[in-house]
Amino acid sequence: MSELVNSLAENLPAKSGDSWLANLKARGRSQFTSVGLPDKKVEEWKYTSLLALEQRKTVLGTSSTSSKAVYKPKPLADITVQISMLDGEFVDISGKAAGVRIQSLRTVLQDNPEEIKDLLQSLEIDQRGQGFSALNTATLDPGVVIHVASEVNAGEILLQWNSSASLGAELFNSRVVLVLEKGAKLHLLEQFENRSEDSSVLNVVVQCKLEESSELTLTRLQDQSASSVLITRTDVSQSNNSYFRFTALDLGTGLVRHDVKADLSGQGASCALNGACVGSGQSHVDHHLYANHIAGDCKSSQLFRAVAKDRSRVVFNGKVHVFKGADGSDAKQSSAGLLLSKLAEIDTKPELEIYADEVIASHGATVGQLDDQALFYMQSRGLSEQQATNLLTMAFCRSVTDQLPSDSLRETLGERLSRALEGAVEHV
Amino acid sequence: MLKIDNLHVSIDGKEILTGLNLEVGAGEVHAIMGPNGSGKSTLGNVIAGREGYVVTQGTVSYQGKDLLELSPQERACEGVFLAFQYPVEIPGVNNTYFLRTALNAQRKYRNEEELDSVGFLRLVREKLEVLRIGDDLLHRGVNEGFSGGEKKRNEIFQMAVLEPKLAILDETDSGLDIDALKAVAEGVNSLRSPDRAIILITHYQRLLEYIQPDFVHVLARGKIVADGGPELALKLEEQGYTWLEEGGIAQLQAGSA
Repeated sequence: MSELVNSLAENLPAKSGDSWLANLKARGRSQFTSVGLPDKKVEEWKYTSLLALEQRKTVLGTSSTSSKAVYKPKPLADITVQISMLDGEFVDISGKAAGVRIQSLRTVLQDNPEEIKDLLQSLEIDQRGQGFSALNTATLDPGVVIHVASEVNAGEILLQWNSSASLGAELFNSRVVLVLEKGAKLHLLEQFENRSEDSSVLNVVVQCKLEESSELTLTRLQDQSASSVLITRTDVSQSNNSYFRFTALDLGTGLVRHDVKADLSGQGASCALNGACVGSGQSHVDHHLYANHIAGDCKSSQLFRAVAKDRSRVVFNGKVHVFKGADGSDAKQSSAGLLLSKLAEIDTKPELEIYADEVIASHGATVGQLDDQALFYMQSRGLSEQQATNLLTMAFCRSVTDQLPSDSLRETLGERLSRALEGAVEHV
Repeated sequence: MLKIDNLHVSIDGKEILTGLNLEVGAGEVHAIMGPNGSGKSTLGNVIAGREGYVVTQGTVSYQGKDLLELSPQERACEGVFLAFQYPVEIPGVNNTYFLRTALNAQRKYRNEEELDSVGFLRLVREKLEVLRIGDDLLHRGVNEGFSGGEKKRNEIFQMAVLEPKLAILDETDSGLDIDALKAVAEGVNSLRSPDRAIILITHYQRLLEYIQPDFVHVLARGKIVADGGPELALKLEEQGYTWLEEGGIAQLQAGSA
């Protein structure tokens, strides 16, 4: 892996000036060189191999928006405000919402960098395989900043991560900064979809700051092609009584790693970290969810459903950490996996670390197969095996999709899910 | 409609049906009675096509076709319906949606136009009215959290909507209180028709007070040991199944011979 790290590091931009930003980027660069990219010896990455990146001799992508053809999928929802990204670069916005400021990260770093200085500097990079975050920091520039003013309900905003139609083994970094002021509300939909046969890597870091009583709903659809790689890290820092609801729907066939961390730092904050995943082909989806109860009286729930077909592999690692003194914490976790093929694999690991006394915590993890009784019952009423399987797997994922914030989204994403579940199923 | 000839069936190498013969014509209602372990449920499951039942000998022909060659789905689409002794709970799958999917799968198989949700709902309302079932069952998951009686009524409701040609009711009466039993019986009676055959598999004579069968068969040790009319059911009720085991079979056979 070191060869890949060296070649990526060599092409990182040289340090320019002595501003905090230049120093931050330089630090990112040196951290990347020392931490490197995670291999399987790192506990957090033991199920996910990055060898493909090395084999493909992945290089740092140069984001030129020039004449390249772009794959732009149909927008996930009929939403007024849409942000388009291309290979990690901010391209444009359509529509406007009062009280909401959307700018490219580059613009903010040029015009008013102090505004996001603390947040950018706060991104922790430790030894647990966070080389991607270090690399992301070293290249800070592409990305987008969304700022919702106090007490403003921004409604829905679509963030489309598009990619050039033909890319080589190139790695693109991007940073999203979301700030919700006191009492603000936002539902951000992220759409990661590509169809290219190329082997690009998108490495996105999302940093969210939720001030008192603000509410962020983040819904992420990933439906990427088989050869593409998506690495995301989402850090959410939550003040008093803020609410964060995250739902990931992973339907693509590529290699995907999500790290989502909610820091419940203010009393009464709560988060729901949910995900449903359909693995097919040779897809590899690795979810690491972290709920950190730092302040007292906070609530967290994690709900994860994985369906693995063909030769796919799904990893779920859900961690709840209740810090000393965080009394009154309420933490729930449930993960379930459904194996639809002999060659598929689901690895699930619940982790609870509790250092406070007055805590309610529960977790449950199961991996199983479709209920033969139910399959026969349905077939005995005239359904084909495929229809019966689809209905059962949809039902299995329903606890996640039911929690989506609107009827239209439940319907749209439900259809996407249903489509992903279709196709030949090899029985165990 | 259905002709079973010398049927031998094993589960896990153990022979459960040991040469069963049965003929059922259109418009007829047959009751099959027998003690626990005599193979009653096995018969229902074999006809519906459940996995794990190995037919080692004999034939089952249904409307001139070799039933055993068909998949469970094909059997359903050809008009075979099994009301389960233990209907399966399927949480998260809406009862109405499930039934519509099933009906449309069958219609498609028969080259009939599929029903849209409006057309389907109209049909459902009609059936509910006939069966005098409330519509609260419609909005829940398939059998999810249903009481024993509700599950059995849901089976009858499915049967009413799917309109099978051959319906097998596997101990639909077991575990029902008298009101639920009456409701189920009324449902079945309303479905009696000259082109439909019904097989009632039951342990007790009680159900037959409400559904008058044309024929009663006694199943013991894996085969039909006696045939008769409703009076045979009364005889069994009177004597009990122990009697059957202790020489009753011979008596019945002598009587019917």
